[in-house]
Amino acid sequence: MADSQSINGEFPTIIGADAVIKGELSFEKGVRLLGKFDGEITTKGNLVVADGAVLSGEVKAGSVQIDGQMSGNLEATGKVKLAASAKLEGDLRTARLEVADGATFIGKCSVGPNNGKATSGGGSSSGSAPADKPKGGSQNQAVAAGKR
Amino acid sequence: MRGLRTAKTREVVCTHCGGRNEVAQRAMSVFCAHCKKRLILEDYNVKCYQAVAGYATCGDVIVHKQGRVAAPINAANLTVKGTVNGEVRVRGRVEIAATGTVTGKIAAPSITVIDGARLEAYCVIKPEPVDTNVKSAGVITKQDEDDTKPLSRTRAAAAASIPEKQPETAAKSTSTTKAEVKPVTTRKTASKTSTAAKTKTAAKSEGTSKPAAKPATTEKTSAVKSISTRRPRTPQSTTKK
Repeated sequence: MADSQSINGEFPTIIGADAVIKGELSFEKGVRLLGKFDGEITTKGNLVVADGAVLSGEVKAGSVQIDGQMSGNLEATGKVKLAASAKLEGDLRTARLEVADGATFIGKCSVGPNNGKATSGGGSSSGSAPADKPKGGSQNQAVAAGKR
Repeated sequence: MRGLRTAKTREVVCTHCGGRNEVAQRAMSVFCAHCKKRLILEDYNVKCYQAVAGYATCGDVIVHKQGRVAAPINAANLTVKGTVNGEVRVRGRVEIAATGTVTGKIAAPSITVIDGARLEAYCVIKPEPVDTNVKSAGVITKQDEDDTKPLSRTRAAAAASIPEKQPETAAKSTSTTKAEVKPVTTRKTASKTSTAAKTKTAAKSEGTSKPAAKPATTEKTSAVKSISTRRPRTPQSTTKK
């Protein structure tokens, strides 16, 4: 086990190139997607959509790197990297964004330091309220959730 | 004239029609050779808020730290260190510095968002040239598509023997060839290429007119007319200068 972990490093989970999966996945650490996935991915670690991979659906992740194709909404607390071969269609919420020349991105984009904090609270509803105070942000969300 | 033309020039894309113009290196403004509208070639440095309807230039726009723009921007490159709110159409690169904020819409082939920047916008980031207007900067690629499509359409129509669709496709093919020839030709070779274009369009329309003879022939004559009426302008202007 220890060997396999050290080999995989950041990505204990790798979804192979010939895999076609539909559904809901959640991880604690990084994921590397080489095949096709349709559904929801939630992870605290990194998500890598490799070149040739196709991902459609909602994604919530720590940081994301896209080399392949993705359609759907994307939320990241950390950084989103779009490589030159990347194609992203959908809404994007992230703290930091890096777009390489040649990448395609069509959709609503919300980039800012506040976004990462808001999404780390785990609610997309928190985005509407400006979370200027990082400590109070989670409380506000809790209140908002209670009202709903 | 020749001496001038061999002097340093640069190519700019018209902000109105998307046509390409060769202009002197240090020119500040020029009239578009295609749509005859005035083009501004200067770079804009926005250091404070100015109540303008929009920034449209073939050069760059730089919004400095204290600068604020609440208007559409149409430029070759854009650097934002301050605040921009509006529709941004850029043919080159958009760079949002750490202090920059952009809200609204962005259409550009490439974008750089430096850490700390804020961006709340509908983005269309595509490697293809941005449509600054109706006739896009990527005229050639569109033409290629159109050139291939009408042929297949006409073939299909001929196979199905539907004569009604013919005039449309013929008109399309002629119009596309016209548009294709126009921006590419330099002034010297204009007369040669125009004749070549005539023969081309004639050949094409003939090729398409075989199934439905009457409407296509009218299209052909109209196309040739329009070319012959439009053509003389460019040589005249050169001789005057």
